[in-house]
Amino acid sequence: MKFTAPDPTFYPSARLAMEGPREKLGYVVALAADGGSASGNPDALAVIDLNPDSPEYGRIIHWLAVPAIGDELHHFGWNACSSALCPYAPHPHLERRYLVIPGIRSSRIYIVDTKANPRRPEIVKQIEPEELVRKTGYTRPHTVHCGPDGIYVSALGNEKGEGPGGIFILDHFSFEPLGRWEMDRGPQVFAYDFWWHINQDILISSEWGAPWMLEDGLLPEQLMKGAYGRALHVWDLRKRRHLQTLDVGEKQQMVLEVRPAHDPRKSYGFTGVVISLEDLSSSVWLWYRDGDNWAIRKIIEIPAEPAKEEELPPLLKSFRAVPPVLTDIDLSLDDRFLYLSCWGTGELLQYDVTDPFHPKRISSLHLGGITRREAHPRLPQKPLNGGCQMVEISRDGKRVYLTNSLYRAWDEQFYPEGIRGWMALAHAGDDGLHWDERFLVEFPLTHRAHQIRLQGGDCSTDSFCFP
Amino acid sequence: MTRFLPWAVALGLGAFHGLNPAMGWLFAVALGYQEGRKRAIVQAVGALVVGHCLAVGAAVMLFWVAGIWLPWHGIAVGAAVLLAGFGFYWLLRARHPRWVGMRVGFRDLVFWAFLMATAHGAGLMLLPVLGTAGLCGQGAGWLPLGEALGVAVVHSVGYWAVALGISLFVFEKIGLSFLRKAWWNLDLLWGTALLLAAGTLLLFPQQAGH
Repeated sequence: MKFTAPDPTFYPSARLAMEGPREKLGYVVALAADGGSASGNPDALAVIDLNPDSPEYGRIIHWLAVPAIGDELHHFGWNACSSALCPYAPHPHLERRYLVIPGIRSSRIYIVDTKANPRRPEIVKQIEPEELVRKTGYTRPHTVHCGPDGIYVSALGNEKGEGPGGIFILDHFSFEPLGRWEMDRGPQVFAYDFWWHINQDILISSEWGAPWMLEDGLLPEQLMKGAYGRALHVWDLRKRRHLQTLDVGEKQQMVLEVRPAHDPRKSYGFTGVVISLEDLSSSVWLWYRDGDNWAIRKIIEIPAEPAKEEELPPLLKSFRAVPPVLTDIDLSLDDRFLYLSCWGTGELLQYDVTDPFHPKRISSLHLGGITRREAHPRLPQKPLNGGCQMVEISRDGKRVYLTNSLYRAWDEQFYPEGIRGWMALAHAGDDGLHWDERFLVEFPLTHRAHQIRLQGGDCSTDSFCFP
Repeated sequence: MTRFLPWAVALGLGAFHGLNPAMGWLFAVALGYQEGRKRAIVQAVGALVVGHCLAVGAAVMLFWVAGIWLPWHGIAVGAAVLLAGFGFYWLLRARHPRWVGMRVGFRDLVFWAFLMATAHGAGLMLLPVLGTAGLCGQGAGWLPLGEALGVAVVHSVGYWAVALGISLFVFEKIGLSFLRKAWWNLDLLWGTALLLAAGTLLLFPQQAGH
């Protein structure tokens, strides 16, 4: 515990965080391609060298295998971040030290210490699924957010694999699950991602589906019925009560990542909708404060691309099109650029959202994709599969990191030949995006890459109580 | 000179409490930035000092009422145990409670400052001062109520001046980067101060005796 100053990676405001030093290490979860059961391969946390001056730049420098098999490591987050400087619960001498890594299939949670040696982190604690269910009633933990008063984690469902999913809290020090977060969930059943307008006491949560609708793959008959999630939920963060449902319409399916503006004075944010049942398009929606209530509207639509039947996986053959499958979005700390990854077409899109109601498309890149198989400039002869999926932006907004696996059971449906894991880096300059030709991390064939966390914080970790 | 010492200590402790970001000035700065005006800070500190004063006043009243029935020695030991308990809690604390959010009005801020001060044992820290005030004030007999409450008020003035001064200074002059550099771990200092107060009571209980 430092005595004289807070953790140097805590910033009062997003503006100050952008001035912080460049990240030198990245942490990426890698899941066993066969689910671990056949091979006995456990999932892992890969440490990637992100220092361009290092001889190991763009390489996996450490592989921390977890002890159990079949966890499906997916999303994860830091134990503490800039929200520790929030004035109503200031805990400035916490440290950004532990990665909280849930297994979305096993419901086990690993606590990984990165302090002793950031290049070789170690597992220091494990929360077993039985304990999680007993204390919270939830399973399938997903998003991890460092709150001022504890660690908030969303979960997709209950012990039976049904709804409701929700949010639970882990203690800042012991990491013990403290219990269910919601006092009154109103009509909310589905869960997925969540974040907050921290200075406005508002939490926003999104909807994917109940675990039974996800774990054996995308269920086409459920999708055609419009049974997957189609709304955002607005909550009173302080009273832990449901306030409002923001429905994006019965033809819209799966509302995933939520990205509120980082400036705590702004009252808007962005969310991505995976697929429209009308035309297979993906879309980005803007939620915003409208008088005493909140409202939502579509601001970006990404159309499906026509394709030949023989190029498509069985799931998509009858549609003769590649849906964009917008699975992740990320907002730079200055609230200026929104990045969209379309896992189906392999496209990374950059929009200027300075005026959030009128986004401007700035540039785009391709890598992988169901029919495109776009290669990377480092290996121009080698077609890549999977597509731009998890996206993470450096604090200064200049580097955009990507990986290509979505969720094991769904990977097989969209890329039946099996995803070969990669991680790439795009530089965001004044002239738009371009690939870093030196940076293409190929994961071992046994494992696929999912979420990325950057040393010292990134654009989907910290929340700021000061503008 | 010694006659003014307890009052000076009460004022000094108030300043010390005002210095602690967890006692309010940080909150005032954040509200100032959120609303983009200095007035929000002045109003917030105004509410915070009321809450702080109520918490300290409540502790002082409890102490004063206890003094009617109990011998000073008993109170000193009891208060020392409480102080040590709070001190160890803040040195080895295990929880991060949440009482309010960021959309706060006057009442919320009073409530928050009251809870923060009480949970941190801010009022208890004043008890050794009250002991000496009793000694230096009237001589024989129990400390007059007016004087006891006066200590709470003087203390709050110290708190108000420092909290307002720091929050305006950060807001108007040095800016937010200050929070990254100069933020002493006052929880440690605080826990230590509570233990020191407990020690004072245990070591010198006779000072305040009749």
